[in-house]
Amino acid sequence: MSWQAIAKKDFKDSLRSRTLWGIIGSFIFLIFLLAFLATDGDINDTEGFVSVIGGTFLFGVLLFVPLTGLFISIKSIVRERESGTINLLLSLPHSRRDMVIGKFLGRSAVMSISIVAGFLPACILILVEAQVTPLYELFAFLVATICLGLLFVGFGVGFSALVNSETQATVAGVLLFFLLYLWPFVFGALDIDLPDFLDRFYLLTLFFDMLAALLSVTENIGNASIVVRGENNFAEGAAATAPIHLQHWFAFVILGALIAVPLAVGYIRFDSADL
Amino acid sequence: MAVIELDGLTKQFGSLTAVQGLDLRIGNGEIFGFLGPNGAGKSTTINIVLDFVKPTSGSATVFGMDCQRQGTQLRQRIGVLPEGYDIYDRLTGRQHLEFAIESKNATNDPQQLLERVGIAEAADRKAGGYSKGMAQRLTLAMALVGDPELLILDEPTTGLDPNGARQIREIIREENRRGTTVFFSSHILGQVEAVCDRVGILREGQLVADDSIEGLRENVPGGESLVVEGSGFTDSVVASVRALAGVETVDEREPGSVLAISLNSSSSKTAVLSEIENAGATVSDFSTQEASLEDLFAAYTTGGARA
Repeated sequence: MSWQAIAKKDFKDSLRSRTLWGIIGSFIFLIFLLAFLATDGDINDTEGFVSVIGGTFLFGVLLFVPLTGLFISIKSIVRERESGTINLLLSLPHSRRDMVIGKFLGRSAVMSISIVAGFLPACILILVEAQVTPLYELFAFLVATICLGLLFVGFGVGFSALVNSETQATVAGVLLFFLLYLWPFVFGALDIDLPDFLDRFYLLTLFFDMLAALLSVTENIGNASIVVRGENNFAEGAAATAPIHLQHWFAFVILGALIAVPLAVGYIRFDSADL
Repeated sequence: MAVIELDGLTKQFGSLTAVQGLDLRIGNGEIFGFLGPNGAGKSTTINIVLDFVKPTSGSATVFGMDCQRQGTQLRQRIGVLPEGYDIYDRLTGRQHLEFAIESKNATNDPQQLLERVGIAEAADRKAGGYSKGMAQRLTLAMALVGDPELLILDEPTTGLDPNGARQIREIIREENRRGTTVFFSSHILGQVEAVCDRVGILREGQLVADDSIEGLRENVPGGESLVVEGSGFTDSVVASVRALAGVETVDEREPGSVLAISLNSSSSKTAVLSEIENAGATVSDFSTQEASLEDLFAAYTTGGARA
């Protein structure tokens, strides 16, 4: 269980990064500004509330989450290798697997705190302005956003274990930032029509499916993924049932795989490397 | 039982052979000094023991446990001051120790350990502001967490002033009295001489000596030299001294008046002195000089000496 010690140490260490708080601070301002513009009007039902929240969160999901997620994770292992702090860490009774797991969990905690901190002022503003208080919907948005954040942390830590230098890590981070959002457009430009299931791996699809799954707890939403249902039916009570791999909750399984695979690949390479 | 056991350990980095067929056994309770010039393969050997580096062939065990497969288990029982490390800039000294204590499930008091290495006053400062010597002391304190049965210290005195180096040697002795085996490396013989029971000298990845300091002296020509002052040290006198059994070399420091004669252990100083007088010269004074540690070290690491 030695990953706990690593996660704890890592959490304390990275929360003290001034750059991280600089990023969070600027996003608090931007997201708040967006929420301020979005709440210009009456918000007197849940649907209106969700669309204001959605508009505010979308920006955060597209920019804040990937940027912060990759920033806090892409150098998490390789920087320890380059600076030599890893020699201290692995002189203690930790395995390299403990290190990868501990890093992922520690940075995931940092990611979660960053997301809550980044969205909190905007959420408070929306709650103050709105005549309704659908707290569960707000909570669902936060959870889905954090899940997406963990995906970036998983990719970041995995690639950090894979690469050999901080320069390579920076390049990997920039490529991941663009590729993870843009790959469907590459297929689109090539006129390649992907099967529905593969479309589910697109990050926004993943986000909306996780959100739908969370909202379906309190609302009457059909169990199909957005790739089947189409975006316009988001809040409608679609009765159609989809096969398991095309149901919205399956997004969490896909999320798990998207986190586990880069971590595993990075770990395998890292485990056999000379430091 | 051997605490550390290396068998035919070899490590190649591409075409460079860093360690070549190294066999070494360190017994329980020993203080072993691992010597060699920079680049001789000392750190590579230690890094294999710590599983930072995978050996090309051969095996390394600590407490009978394989370093590659049972690393976490064996590291639970050892304390390490590794080479080329860095400390966490944003964490305080105390947080470093808390991390080590939690990692080892130990019960040490961080403050007490910091006092022991002499940096208690900096406990709550971020380690990023520590000097090289303070960082070295902090790392040593981390190595002492959990009262290890074996201390592996890679160049523990680099970055320290003479007083700091002496404190480290005191800590090594204290730990050893408690029963801890100590394995430490240095490229300076003087640093290990004062504390080591046994030294091993590594050169180009191979062990060229494995003995006590006294043992090393005996095996090196020039281990001891006799300096004779007087008059009438002609060429024929020098030649007759050279012919004596046990005389390795004769150096004419001041032609005709001062000779430095290096002797091996089988020689007799009296025989040398009487031979000089019998050959017609006059001896006014003589003294013996031990080879300096640097000479000794140089003999093993650059010359052909082997033990």
